[in-house]
Amino acid sequence: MRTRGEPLNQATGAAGIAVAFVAVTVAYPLLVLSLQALFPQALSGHFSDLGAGFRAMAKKPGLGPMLLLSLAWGAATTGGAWIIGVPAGWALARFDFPGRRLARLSLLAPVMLPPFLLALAYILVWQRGGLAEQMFGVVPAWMQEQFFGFAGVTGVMVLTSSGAVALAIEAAWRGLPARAGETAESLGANLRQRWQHIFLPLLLPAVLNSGVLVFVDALSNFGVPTTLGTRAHLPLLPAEIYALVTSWPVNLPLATALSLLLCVVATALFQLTRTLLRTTQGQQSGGGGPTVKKLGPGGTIAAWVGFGTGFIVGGAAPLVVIVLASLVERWNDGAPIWTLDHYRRVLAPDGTGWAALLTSAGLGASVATICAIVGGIGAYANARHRGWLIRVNDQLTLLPRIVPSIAIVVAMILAWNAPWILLPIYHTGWVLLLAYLALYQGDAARLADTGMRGIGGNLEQAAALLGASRGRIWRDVVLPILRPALLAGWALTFVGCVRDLVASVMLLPPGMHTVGSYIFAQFEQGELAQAMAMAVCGLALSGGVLLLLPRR
Amino acid sequence: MLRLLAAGAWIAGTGCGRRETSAGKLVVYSAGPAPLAEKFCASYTATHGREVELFSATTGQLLAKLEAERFNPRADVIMLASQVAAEGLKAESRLHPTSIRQHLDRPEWHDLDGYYIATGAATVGVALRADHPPPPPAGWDWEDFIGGGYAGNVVMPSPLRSGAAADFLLAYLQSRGSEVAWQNLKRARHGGLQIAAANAQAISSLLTGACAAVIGAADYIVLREVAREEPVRIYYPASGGVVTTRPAAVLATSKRVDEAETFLRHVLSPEAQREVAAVHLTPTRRDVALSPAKQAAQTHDGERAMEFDATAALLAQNAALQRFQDEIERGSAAEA
Repeated sequence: MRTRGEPLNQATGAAGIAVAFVAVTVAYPLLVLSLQALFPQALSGHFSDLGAGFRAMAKKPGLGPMLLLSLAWGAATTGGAWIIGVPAGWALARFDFPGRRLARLSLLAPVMLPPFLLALAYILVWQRGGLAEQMFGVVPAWMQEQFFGFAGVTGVMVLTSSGAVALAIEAAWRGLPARAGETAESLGANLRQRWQHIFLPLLLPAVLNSGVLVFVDALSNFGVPTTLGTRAHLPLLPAEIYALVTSWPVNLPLATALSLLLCVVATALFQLTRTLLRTTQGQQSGGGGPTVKKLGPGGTIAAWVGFGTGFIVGGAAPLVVIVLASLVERWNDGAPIWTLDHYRRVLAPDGTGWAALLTSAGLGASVATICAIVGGIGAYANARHRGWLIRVNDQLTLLPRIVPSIAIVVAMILAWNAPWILLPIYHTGWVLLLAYLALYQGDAARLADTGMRGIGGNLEQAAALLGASRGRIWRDVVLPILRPALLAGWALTFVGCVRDLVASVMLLPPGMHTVGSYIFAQFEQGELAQAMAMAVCGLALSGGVLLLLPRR
Repeated sequence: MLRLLAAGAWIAGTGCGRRETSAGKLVVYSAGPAPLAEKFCASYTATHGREVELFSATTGQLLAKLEAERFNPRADVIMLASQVAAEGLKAESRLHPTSIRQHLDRPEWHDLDGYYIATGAATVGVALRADHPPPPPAGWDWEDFIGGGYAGNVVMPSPLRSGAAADFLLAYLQSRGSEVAWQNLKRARHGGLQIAAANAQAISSLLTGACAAVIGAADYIVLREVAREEPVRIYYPASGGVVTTRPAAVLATSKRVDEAETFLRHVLSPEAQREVAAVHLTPTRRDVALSPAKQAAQTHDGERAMEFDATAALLAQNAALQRFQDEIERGSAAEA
């Protein structure tokens, strides 16, 4: 029993570390947020005036329509992402065609290109005197109006989120019980019956889960509505929270109340899908997926057109626009005057741009490293430990996934400025480190979990029987097998940090800039070309890291 | 793999540790133009051998940041683009009085009780494209742009973000009488007046041709483009532009009051004031010459200025900004 007991004790420690990590980075700020939302004076130690923030909500004119509009926006984004993502995922899983790998890769474009950059790129296209007008002469006013309104804000979010939906659907489809469809078919079930009774119920979890993620993502994205929606003054929840926290007159009670509301909506949605799925989800039988069909020439062209359009609209074209804008000194009557000055300014060794790149790279590397380590430890605990700590950890690790990032950031402003915080955290790079840890720990943890699930306990036990120490087992048995997953998690986390906007802009300490905050500041100062030059540098940085990632 | 992890941990250690040891530096929060604030800090470091940590944002963002950091203040010096905002901080006893005001030029720009001084001033006017038809002999007034024949083509920076635009809004309300002014603004919004986030953003839509006029534009941003030979110009309307001083003050919560005062004195030094003039602001010191572009613009339209009572404006400020947000910014969206 000794040999079994020892890894278990070790696993308890590991679970403890994982729990403590989420507790400090996410749970503590959210606790302060909830307290402050209920008692606006909580931070000064007065627990009175219960719910004043929510009462302020009721008094604020236009809040109801704003919330409805935000919900409609989230729903429209989700619907759009489904309309594009579900067929794309289905096509990827069901059919084989030349260039399928490339098609799948193209879905990953948004990983590099964050929504606010996409929005900025399309602003350059659609604004008056923008690229569209340069190219086609006149762009109808209604088109511009639509773009700088609900349709544009939704469209950009759809572009950034449908790839993830497609990948989730593809994975789910591949997990379908092999030949269930064919069996049903041979038993006389027609197409509609097969879909209704076999495919849809089995795909439902992936559809709903990815939908909830898209919805929450939209409702926590302030970059798109603040860049695109401001012209139409489309009041949307994340932009509203951002404005309440960062512009005068500041209204923290209302901002916290709205953030808490956002958390509650997200959690409720998540729980709802969970219960829904618990009642419909059947047994998980062996995967393998329905057979993959080879596409004929007509189908291949259709697939190419479909994925090609998606890639061009959601990745290639915006990228070209960004690069173009970064190289243009100014537009004079439709003729560009080229320059490299923007890059010179960004990359000047003593300038803020270069410092911002270094800060983002340093923070990204640190956060990715910590997340990979803690993710690995957590995954190990999840796989090897059964106990209350793991159940707590299970619940806690859901938090960063379901709580909207803007709410976490508002929570961090409160939590790390509280009077009882004696360490200089808030005004230093530490707060950004904590925020990135809170926001981007999910990827590394998820990938490590998946990786760990593939490792049976018997290897470790064999090593222990042969007298290997714990450290040795970790180093020589677990780590090598887990390595690809940890590295992938590291890279994804790094990229996530470099493309971050919400934490960078809202928590930026004095004397610092990150890639995201630099781009946003330049945009606000009207220096779009400068912003775009930085965007290109940021993309090169994260692209370089992804390229350097060792292939398994 | 392990080496990678170690490298990451090392970066984490050094990167954040460096920030921690910087707790002794003077911290300056400054409204735009960011390059000017950066120059102030650099020249201060060069003369006094002390490093400065700078946070640049819009006036609104700075005030919001101060509010969020109420329990954990760090800034020593604040430089704003709005005198009303400085009056507000003074009224809340958040500023530390200094004796710098004595012997300064333009005494009317500085706080009588010494709570803030002005580093310079901008004049808020209307930015036009250079190819805009010339004004009639009597000149245009604000009303020609607000609710005039510019449907869909006029932009105003949001007074919630831009300190200069906020001062313009309050001055306009004062000079026209509150209700008349609101009616004009509402009419303009219905006619397609767009609200941009910050001053510079509004100007860039003028440059790209996205709009034909920017009302409530701070002149120095327009003049910067004029100096770059961009096809724009600044126009000061007949009833006058709004002179918005750029106050600087020491915060009451500062633990480095003496050093903060030294910084303010530095900002008023001839060297720093020349930097003020170089970005087309009017320097506080009369012995520092205006930039050629600013000189030209003022000779062209005359140095007209609207009456503006910052103390009275402060009382109206919160309600006015709120009303602007509710009725003007969101106005058309609510009706759509």
